[in-house]
Amino acid sequence: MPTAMPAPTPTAERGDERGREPMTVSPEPSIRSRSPSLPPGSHYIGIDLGTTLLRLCAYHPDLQTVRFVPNERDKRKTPCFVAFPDDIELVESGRKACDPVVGEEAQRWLFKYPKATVFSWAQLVGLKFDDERVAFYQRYAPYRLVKDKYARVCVEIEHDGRQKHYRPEDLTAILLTYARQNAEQALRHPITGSVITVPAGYTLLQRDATKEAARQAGFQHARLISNAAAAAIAFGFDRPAHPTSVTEYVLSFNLGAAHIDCAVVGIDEEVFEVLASAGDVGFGAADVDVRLLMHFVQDLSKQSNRKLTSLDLLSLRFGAEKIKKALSTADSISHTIQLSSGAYAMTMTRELLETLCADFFDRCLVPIQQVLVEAKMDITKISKVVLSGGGSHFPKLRDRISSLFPGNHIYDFALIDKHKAVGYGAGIESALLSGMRSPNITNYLLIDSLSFSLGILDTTTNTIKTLLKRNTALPAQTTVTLRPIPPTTPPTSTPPAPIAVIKLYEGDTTDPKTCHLLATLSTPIPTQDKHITLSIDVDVDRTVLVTLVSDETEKNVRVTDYPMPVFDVSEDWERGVGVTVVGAGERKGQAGGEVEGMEIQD
Amino acid sequence: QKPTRQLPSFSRQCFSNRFISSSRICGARKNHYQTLDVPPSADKKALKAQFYKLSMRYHPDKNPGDEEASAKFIEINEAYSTLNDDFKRREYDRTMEVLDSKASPFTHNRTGPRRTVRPYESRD
Repeated sequence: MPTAMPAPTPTAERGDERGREPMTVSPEPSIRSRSPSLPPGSHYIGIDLGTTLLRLCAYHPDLQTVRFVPNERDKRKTPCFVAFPDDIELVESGRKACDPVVGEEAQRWLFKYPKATVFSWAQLVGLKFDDERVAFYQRYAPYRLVKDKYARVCVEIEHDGRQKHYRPEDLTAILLTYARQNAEQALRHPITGSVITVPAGYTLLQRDATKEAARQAGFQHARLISNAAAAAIAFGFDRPAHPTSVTEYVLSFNLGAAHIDCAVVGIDEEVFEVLASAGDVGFGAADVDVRLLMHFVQDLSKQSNRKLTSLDLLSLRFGAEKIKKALSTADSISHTIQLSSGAYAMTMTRELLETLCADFFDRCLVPIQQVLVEAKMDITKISKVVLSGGGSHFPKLRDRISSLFPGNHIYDFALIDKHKAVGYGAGIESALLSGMRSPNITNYLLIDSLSFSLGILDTTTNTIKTLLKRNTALPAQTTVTLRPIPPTTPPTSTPPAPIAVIKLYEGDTTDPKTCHLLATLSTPIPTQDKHITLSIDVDVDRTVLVTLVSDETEKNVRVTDYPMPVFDVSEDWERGVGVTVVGAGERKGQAGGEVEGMEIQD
Repeated sequence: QKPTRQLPSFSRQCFSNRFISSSRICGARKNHYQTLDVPPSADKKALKAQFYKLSMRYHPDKNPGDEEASAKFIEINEAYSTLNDDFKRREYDRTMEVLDSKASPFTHNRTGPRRTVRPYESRD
């Protein structure tokens, strides 16, 4: 296993403050491209990748603005459904066997192949199987979720009598492939880049999984922006004329089917700066459907003691969605849902819906408070509240939010639909990354920020020491000096070279149990009282690079270029990235080999 | 039986370590005010305007594939996030004072922040 890179040429000699020998300092640890983007002239496309719907938005050179791209059915939205119908049916409909079907066509198979039609999986991307959100999802899904060998969640599909396992990101890749082909057909040129919107609360692992899906779908570069940031961009282009010298602060709130996104964005003449963002992934407008569904089930059991099959639950769930949407405008609605035991007719009022979801609205407001505190922003400084996403249609939610912001009124988009704001924002960002300039889309810049803090485990206190705080503007870098603490028990025999173990975490607390372990790095240190410089480098695409420099010998050993786990943690990780992965136990077995802990200096 | 942990003391050594490490990142001994090209008396509004202006010039999205611009943006970002935070700015100003007086005890023609408090540590 390569543990050392060729030493960089020493560039500077500096005397140490503590009167040590002058030592060579490695040049700035710039390792890999911090600006990973495609050559100029590449075409990007904006993808609003929602939980239930997918929208494509691209720059139209003739109209000199962005437009939504229709799918092959001439619709501007594609439902996020992937179905694997039996091969016979596929061949009959003129397709290759084993070809998954996507979108509305897949939705058609839902009731025929409930165990082979997947929907709303975006909330599962990058999750561990034992996550509580997985268990919640399983309760209302007709197909099974299983664990793969890395303890991640997988969807089990029954296809032609056999079971097949798909990772959620594989399903996303199928959907994105469809989107790319669709767009290439409509725009008549190859598309190599994408701007994909994801929930703000996505962890790095979930983002990496989405990026991997985009790679599988044939996009060479995928920029992920949060739904709230995309909606804020749409606002910036939709807002009425504003004095350009004044920075306007908006609160962008996006309520999707399975996520809540919230961000405070500063909008200057040319710059959009995400000052703070927060979100709730796995909780969103679809939870209202679930509340309604529970209510129906209770109601049905009272009515006639009817038996409900899993297909009935599915019908009730989609019926609930329809009722919810209708109640955004109507005060009451009568609806009939066909069940296996006969029709179920009911009348639902908005009042009852709001009673059923009283705590739902409370939870929606939590991220708003959070971002205001984190952005150190007074409520009076927020000039507009931008609501987007399907869930923001709830009249009750609008009331609750507007009561939070006295004097500020909720912004209603003038030219674009609230549903489409996110897609529109992604489209504008994609036009900018493509290098398009037009009178309608001027030169602007989105400065995004980190969603979760990054830190390392301080083994002396067993807490996480934050190195890069959340909401730090990207790209960012930080450097810290570590001093290994030698083991207390003297080694009995000649010890092997000691190893410093560094654990990198992502999360907002200091408790390692509630944070996500991103990586375990280790580096040999020639003598124990010398220092190690650790630098964390996050680029605009949130690729994290960790560089360890032990300034021990004359030639500085740059221990590693450490890419984040692409998503198969164990494999890519152990293979050739240049450090030892501790955890298998073989290192720990060596007496005196490991240092007791790391003291963080500075 | 853990080794006694040395508590970080608020000493000059502590200060200078911090400075050395941050200057290593930047690769040059440039202070945050110089990086942002603002006078030490600049207020928050001026800082922000300057940050946005420099971002438009050096952000990686505006300079695809340009490593130098990218490194420069990181430097600008670090400078802005330090100076934009009242607490960090005060601490930084004090650190700069100490280092300044240490580097050249007899000259006062620095371009750094104005001296507000004469730190105890600097009186050698």
